[in-house]
Amino acid sequence: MKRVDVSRFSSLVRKHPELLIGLALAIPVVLLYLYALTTLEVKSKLLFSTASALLVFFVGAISLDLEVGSLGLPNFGKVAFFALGAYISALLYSVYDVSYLVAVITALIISSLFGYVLSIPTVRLRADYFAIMTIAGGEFIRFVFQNEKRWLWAPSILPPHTPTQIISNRAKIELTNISPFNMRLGDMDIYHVLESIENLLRIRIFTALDIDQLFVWEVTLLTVFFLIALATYWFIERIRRSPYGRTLRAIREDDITVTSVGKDVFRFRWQVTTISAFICGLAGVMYAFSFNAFEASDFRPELTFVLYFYVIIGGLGNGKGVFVGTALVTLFMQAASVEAVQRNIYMHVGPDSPLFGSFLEILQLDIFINPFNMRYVVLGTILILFLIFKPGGLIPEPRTDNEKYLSLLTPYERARSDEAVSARQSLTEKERLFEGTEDENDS
Amino acid sequence: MTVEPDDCDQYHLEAEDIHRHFGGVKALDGATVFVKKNKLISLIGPNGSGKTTLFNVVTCWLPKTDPFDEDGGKVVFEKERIDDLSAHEAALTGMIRTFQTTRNWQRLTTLENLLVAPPNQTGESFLNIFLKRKKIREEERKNTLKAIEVLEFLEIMHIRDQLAEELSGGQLKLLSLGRLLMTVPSLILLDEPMAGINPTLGNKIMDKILELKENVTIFLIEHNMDVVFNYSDEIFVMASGKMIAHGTPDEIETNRDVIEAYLGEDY
Repeated sequence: MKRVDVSRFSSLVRKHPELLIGLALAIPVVLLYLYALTTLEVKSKLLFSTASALLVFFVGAISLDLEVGSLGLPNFGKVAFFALGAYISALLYSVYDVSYLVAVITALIISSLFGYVLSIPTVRLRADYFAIMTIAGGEFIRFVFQNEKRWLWAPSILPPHTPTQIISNRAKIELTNISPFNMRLGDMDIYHVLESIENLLRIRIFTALDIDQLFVWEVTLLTVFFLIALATYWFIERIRRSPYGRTLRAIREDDITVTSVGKDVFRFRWQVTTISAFICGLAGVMYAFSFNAFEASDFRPELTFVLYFYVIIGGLGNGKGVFVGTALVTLFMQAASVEAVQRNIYMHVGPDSPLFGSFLEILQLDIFINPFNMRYVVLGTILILFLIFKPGGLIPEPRTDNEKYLSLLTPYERARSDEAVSARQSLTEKERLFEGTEDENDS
Repeated sequence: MTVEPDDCDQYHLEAEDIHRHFGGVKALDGATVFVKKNKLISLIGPNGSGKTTLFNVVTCWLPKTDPFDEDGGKVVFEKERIDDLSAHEAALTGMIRTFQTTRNWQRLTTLENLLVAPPNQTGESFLNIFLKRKKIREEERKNTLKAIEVLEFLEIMHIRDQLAEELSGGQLKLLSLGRLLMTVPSLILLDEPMAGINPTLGNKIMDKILELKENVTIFLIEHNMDVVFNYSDEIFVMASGKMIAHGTPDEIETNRDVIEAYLGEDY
């Protein structure tokens, strides 16, 4: 019999205390998600929506993390870039008949421009006032989309084609209808490959998850999203590791000192907000694919706050943390939205339960039992606990080490420097203080 | 004013007739300073006499005044007017300052604190991150070597790998001095470099500052009179936004105005 080595686990936990908190969060979330999966008839539907939400929000969250985690600029208007990306790409394609590629590029450019505009006040504004201003900026964009009838409303599908707020996303509708994208994966030849892998491994994982029920467009979309997310991750990590990213962190710590050594802090700020706006606009274009049609009220400030959940729970200032945070929260949100989960929790601990049922009904607390209604309460509580006890998040920003720089030196230079470090470290504080002065006395 | 520029060439920094007010308070009221090249010039005066404000004006740290305001003055550094520059542009001319309260990048290592400082790094331009990777590596190597040199010079090699938030107050003072050296300055403005640290370490910092004097002009605000009178080549004395005296340490020590305004009879 194989025995689990507990001592190894405990030493691992002692080394990384975050692991315990992570498991305490991940285990219930994963169990809830697995339970949600088992209640569904076609499990791949939930899998698809989870995966696409995860990828879309990961791209959005990592762009937020570049601003908040690396530069220390709390942008609370991220939803505006989602809205700009989604609206402009969809409107240009469905209403103004521009080719989709041009529509997307235009959306990204406009989104970046808005990011640049938002950065201008940072010359004078302190971070907290910047946060307030960006909330207003986000709401401003939403109200423009809601009320500008001439340009930003789409003619309704039914005659007499009066403009409505609702934008139908023609790109997605077309994608879901064109062959071969409208076929199910089970009908494609490639599925036999998956089946043979299944037979080889003797685990019926693809069958169990109803992968054959997925549409080809769903698989294609996920693949494209995955590639975009991967590229974004690589791009942002590259920025973080460069001298540019180092200066960004210095600005986050203290911008006045950065100015005092002759660096234009504003240049870094506008560049980062613009890049981040570009990426977030891209997330908006991706986000549009979760809807056949959308309207301005799909872009409320909650979307920004959800991004903050991801980033703070996962860990500011590093892409891995953001991914973990996004994955945990998305799994929870998706599981909570499954009807059977809501109904069954209702039955066991809600008003239908034999034990407390009537009590809850009298107090009219039954609405709180529904995990979907409670999702923001749960997340908000977790967020507050994190901010108090673990502001670094599940995966904190890695402590910078000098290895990166020291490895650039030749072995000789490196050894000399390391020797000097340990030589000085071995001295007492008093010896260090008087070392120089004694030399002078001798001479 | 008592000072007249006799030979312009020897002046590294000239600030003439600087006026500055904050609300109703006149912080600077026609202050004038001439800083000679490769000398250690001290600026002393009671608290609130406008010393730090003068530093802020000279390094273009304060917001620009509008032309109709009575605030203004002329600042010339290395024979060029720099009044219109922004703070970071002024720093790029080779005039670097420190702050009264030590400011450092807390969650960066000591080595990184130094590596951020060199101006106009290739790797700080966004496109270069992706296009000029080789050049960035070379530059990083060069800067790392230089940073190690600076650490050795300041004798703080032992804190190379520590985060700035883990350092003591004295180490932070040395670190901010080191950051300044990474920028290759020609004039350094030190705002109370010895405030709040023990006298032995203070002397050590002073030794280091004096060693720099060969290549660099030093403009110093300090309240430690022993240091000021022992090491300065020239001393300016400020009171209520005006220069009340200027001269060698011996001249200042016996100046009646200075004794009344600042030093007191006992000195």
